[in-house]
Amino acid sequence: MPSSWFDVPFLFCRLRIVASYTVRENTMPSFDSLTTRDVEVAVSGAFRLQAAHGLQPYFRNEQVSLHVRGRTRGEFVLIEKDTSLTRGATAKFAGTTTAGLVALTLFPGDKHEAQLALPFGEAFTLPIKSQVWETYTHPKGTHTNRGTVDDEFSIGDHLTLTFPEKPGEVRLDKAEPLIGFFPDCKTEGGVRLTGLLRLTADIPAFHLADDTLDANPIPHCRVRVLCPDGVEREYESDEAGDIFIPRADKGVYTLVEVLHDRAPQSAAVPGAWSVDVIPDMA
Amino acid sequence: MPNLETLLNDTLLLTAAPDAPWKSYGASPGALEAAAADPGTPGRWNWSHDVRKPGRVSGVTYHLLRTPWYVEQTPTVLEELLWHPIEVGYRGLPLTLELTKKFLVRKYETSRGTVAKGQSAHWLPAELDRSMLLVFGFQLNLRAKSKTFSLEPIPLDVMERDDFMPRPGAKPPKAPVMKVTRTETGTLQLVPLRVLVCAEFVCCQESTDYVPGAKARTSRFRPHLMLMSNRPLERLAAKISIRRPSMSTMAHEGLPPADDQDGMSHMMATGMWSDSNSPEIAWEKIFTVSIPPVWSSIFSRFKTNLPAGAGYLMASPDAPGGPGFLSHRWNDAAGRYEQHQEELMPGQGYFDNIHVAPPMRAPKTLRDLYPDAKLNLEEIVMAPFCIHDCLHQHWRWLPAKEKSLHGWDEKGPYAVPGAPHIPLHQHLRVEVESPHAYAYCVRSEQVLEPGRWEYILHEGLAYGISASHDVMGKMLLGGRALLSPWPSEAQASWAMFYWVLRYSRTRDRAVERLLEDGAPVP
Repeated sequence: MPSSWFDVPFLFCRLRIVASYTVRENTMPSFDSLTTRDVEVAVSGAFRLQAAHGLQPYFRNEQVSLHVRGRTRGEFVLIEKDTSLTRGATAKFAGTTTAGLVALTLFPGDKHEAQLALPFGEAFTLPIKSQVWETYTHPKGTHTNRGTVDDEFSIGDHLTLTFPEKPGEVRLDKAEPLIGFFPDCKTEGGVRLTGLLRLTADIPAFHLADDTLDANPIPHCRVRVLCPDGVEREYESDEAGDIFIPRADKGVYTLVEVLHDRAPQSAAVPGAWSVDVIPDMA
Repeated sequence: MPNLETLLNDTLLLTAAPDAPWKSYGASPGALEAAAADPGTPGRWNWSHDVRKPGRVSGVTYHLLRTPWYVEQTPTVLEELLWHPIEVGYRGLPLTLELTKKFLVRKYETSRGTVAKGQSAHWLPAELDRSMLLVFGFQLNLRAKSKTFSLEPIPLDVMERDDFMPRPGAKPPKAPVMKVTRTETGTLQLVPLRVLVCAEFVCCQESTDYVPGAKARTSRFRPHLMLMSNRPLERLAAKISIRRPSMSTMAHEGLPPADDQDGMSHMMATGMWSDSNSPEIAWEKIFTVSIPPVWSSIFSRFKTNLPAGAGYLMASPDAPGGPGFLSHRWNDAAGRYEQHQEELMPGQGYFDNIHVAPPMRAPKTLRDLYPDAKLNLEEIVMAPFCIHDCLHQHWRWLPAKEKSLHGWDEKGPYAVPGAPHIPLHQHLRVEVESPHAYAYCVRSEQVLEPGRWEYILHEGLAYGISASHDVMGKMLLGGRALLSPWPSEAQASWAMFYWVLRYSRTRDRAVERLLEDGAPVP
């Protein structure tokens, strides 16, 4: 089916997925047991997808790494007569995953459906340390073992979403995860997708966001930037918190300061700074 | 750097009951819900609290056991307590923190807990009765409409982070060098102003640590606020309204409240007093048979029957101390008032305490005996201790021996004898809302350091329970000597005992032993 998306050579994407859920259930109905899983994880990434159209508009990038920050806690309790066994693990982590494939396939038609694939496998993994414990309680007392184990946190899913007929922003808020994004994740448990797959002519030089897990973009915030020609210029973030600067291939752009001349940003202070590299643009 | 859990350990409730259950509120979906807060076993204290209006506690009662002066009963201590919106200033911007459900993060409730001796520099040893802690989080919305400021709740994930609040005294982190090349996008996080507010309504079991010399039993309750910000705040103003019922619900002798039956005038009245700082007035020297605590010997200033609208600056960093106002004490032998210059402590303001209680009445036989005399027998104010239904608040005590009665230094409470019981930089004003209610108003113009708790109404209040029999016996005996010119009924009357502490009698006229504030000097 003809689609103007076939004419798009690149998609510049900013992805953000937040999973925050608590599940408590008896996973062994024949026994008196309780499994608890608390997860709060934020995944973010900025990358470029390149067109590799076939019968459908199709974009891909095999070298996408994602930033992960979060905590997990899992516990299993089994009670039998006067004894109980508790096994649990908890982890707090932050880092960048191994690189993997991100692919977006559009299915032009009445529904304008698309599928964003981040396949499970070798990619999108992060080594983490988990604190584990095992407690055995019986009439004569309680015995507990504790330790730290090397573990791995991995990400992956196929997200179903809709896209606009004409090339433009694709919002992720209403995308549906097929599996749940994380191992053992319950899709009905509270996974929230936020962010944009933003079709822009270039990547933004700077992006302004708040310091929450959702990293909400900060719009209409003015900044002063030192350009490679030695001149300082003022720019303003757009609705998505992006600041686009027509940039030469060489040269460094320095964000000198956030201007405190306008509410509400005048009541903010700069926090963490990070850089996303789009290496295949070079 | 601390997260929410660590910070809340500083509250009184969690110092006493670290495992108290809580219920979470807030908009974040999937937020961790702990076990529902447990109101617990009913104790002596009881009240109502509705999270839809979290800044209000109503119907506060206390279950009194029988004493020689009244039967077992549950009088109303407060009709309501209101935590009004807190005003703060940041970079010249005035902000109002409304303690509403929108900003409520957690509610803890417990019916027991213990603060052990030496456990905390900020909280006195105590056994908790029914108590509550409310946690509110405010942050400036950086995504608000351009050129506007608005507040939103702090997201739960932010409060769980170890850098939620800075350490006190920590230097702000160095600004990063923010450079990008053609193939890079640099993301800068902006951190908004955040303020954490804890409102505690902690009720304690009976103790004797509220007055010098352990002369009386009271039950403390501590409806204080604690506030912390991640940025320096330039200004703070907070107000707490404390409202008793207009009529005392207390009954003596098991009878329903009624004048003439129980020696009480059931209409509430408000009075304020200042302690004398004179070293001769140590409380261990009073309560003897020979020296009853007459007002001219223990107080330097007082005002009774305060009307709505009256207000005074009670403590201030601008008050230098030293030689202060002139008081006028009655000299019985000379038959005239003598003028004294009162010595004030640094920070000391107009009055030191407030008492809201129903006055007493002289026995009917005495009132009938002197129907036209100017003896003020119809309304007798209780002080220095109250035998019934009295709400006390002391924001300063005379320089007493007990550490629990010492005021703040720059580091914290219970440090300086005779100093006000509020942080050094706070200005305290108390305003009378009605004869049975007042507002505790705190203001600070000093920059409040990020990551450090600011305490408001840290000193708390107390509900009078009883004095020990021994103390009461001594007091009454001491008063009897002064009542010797009166008919014998007067010597068995608590109302007349209080009368004689305040007044001397010259023929058929009552003469103030200490001239009331504002009264013309005869």
